[in-house]
Amino acid sequence: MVLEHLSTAAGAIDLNGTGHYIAWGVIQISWANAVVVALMLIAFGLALVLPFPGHGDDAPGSDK
Amino acid sequence: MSATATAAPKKVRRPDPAAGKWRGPTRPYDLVKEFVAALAIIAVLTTLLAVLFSSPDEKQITMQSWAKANPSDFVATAVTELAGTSESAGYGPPYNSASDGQKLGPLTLQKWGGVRIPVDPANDFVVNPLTATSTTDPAVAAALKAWTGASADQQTKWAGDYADAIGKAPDGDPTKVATGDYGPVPALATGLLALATTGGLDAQLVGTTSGFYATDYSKPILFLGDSGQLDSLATDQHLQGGQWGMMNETGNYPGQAWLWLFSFWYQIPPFTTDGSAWADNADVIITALMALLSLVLILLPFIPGLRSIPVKIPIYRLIWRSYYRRYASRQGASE
Amino acid sequence: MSAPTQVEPSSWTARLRARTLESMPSDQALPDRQPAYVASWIYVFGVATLAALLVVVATGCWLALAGPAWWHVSSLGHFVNSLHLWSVELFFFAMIVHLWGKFWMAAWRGNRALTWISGVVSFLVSIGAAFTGYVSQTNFDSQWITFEAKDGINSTGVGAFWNVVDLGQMMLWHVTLLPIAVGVIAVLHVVLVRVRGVVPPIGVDTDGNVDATVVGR
Repeated sequence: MVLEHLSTAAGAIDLNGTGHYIAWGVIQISWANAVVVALMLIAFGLALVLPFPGHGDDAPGSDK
Repeated sequence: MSATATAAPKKVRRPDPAAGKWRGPTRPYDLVKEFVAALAIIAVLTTLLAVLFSSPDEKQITMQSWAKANPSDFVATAVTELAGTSESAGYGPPYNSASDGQKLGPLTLQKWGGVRIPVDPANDFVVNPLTATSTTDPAVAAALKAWTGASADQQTKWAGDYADAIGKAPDGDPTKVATGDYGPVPALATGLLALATTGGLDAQLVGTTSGFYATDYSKPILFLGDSGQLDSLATDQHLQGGQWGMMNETGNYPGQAWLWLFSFWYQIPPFTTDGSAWADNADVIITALMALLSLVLILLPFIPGLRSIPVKIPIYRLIWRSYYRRYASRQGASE
Repeated sequence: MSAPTQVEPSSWTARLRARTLESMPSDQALPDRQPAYVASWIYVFGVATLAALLVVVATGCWLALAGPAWWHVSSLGHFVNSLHLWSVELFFFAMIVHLWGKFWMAAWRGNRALTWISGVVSFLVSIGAAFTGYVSQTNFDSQWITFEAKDGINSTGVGAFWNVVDLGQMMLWHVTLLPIAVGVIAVLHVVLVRVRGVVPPIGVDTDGNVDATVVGR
């Protein structure tokens, strides 16, 4: 069964074990959390700048 | 204020240009297709992440595993329970009345909750479990008899002196304490250690609250929490409050990044100033502060200044740039 | 015929029907057109949040089938737990990017304050739902989290009634009460978006006219 092969206790990349942290003054953040937050900021930035497809049929007031 | 001919002016205030049905240009947009695509993408991403990284499952600790891994710490903690000097003993509501608990200014919120989850550490963690299982050990039975027959002051003196002696012993090893009058306390502590090592204490601590079925783990968690064992395991995993632990997960897994602001306050003075009223009442003050900030976020549309930030810092010009460009010639709107 | 019919004033059913149809005519519930300004990738994060919520609930139901100890003893169970955890991470990821987008759009304009409010409330309730999930793991993580969290909650007096160390209470909140709350608020939120429409751009009125001074052109 494919599912049995998928279900190992540690994933293909084992995130168990000693955690790694970024320390900067009073701020201490795990690398994992820092990566997640960075990805969110990148996603937000890309969403703002990437062009959205299609110019459709811009019929004024035609949504009745 | 523009005087449009279309609507009879019926309000004194400027009408909100964003209110009402959109009568401007539209474009085809397939909401259902968008939802199905989103569902498929999220399902695939979830599966990919689960296959790549799995999820953490650090094994639970038990009174038994604690007693075996760190018997000196176990005995030392049991003695502080008998002496009434442990954190649980002095906690206050909802467990006992040893203190009033935390205050938000003059408001004794913790006390108002009342003692609804009664926990008496000396008896619940040590005496009662031993009593229930002492029939097979005459030494423990005799120690219990000596303990329960003594006055409260005598009990406190025995246990307090023994706790101090353990603190002074090399490596905190109870077998190496200086001789002194500790009454039945050493026998009680070693008896409890023996019970814990068999696994019997885990059952006693949970079962005594409600018998056969039990879901309330207050007693074992409080007892474990008084130890150095739980503390050092948490420190290793960066889960302590002063390590931004509220945000963290074990290992290298992402945790709860959304708790960043709640976690932040615990890192700065005056909440880190030991002995200050701010530090002593940090939990209730910070919880109240976060409730207030949440209220500000909820009521943002009504807060002048804050609600104008998106207009003053015009990120919106990026979002809607194609509309502005295409329909710039449709003049006539006013803010 | 969609012309308003004569409503029997004493009929609650007829009055409710009339009010419902009035606020959301049938072609507005699932329109196949949107205002022309709905043309940015920032708009996908709302539907992504909804999709992630569905995966969270589905994987949660799968875990519920076999009970809370399953994932510790079965590798399939552990995999389903991983699906549940990562769908939650994606849920919060999408929801917060959606919140950032809605803030910078000042999406509460035009009588849409309740849409904003229901969104923020659903965020806060979701945090509560996630918390009760973390304390239901029945492993070291839940032992530590309950040990710490009890202090915060006890300090407010609420801990006397809401016992984070009571596995039964927390798990029932996690599996029934809080998902229902999140679901109801999410439905309210989406209905509000459909009823009020997606907020027009800043500087644009509902006829589509553009105020050049606001858009800097």
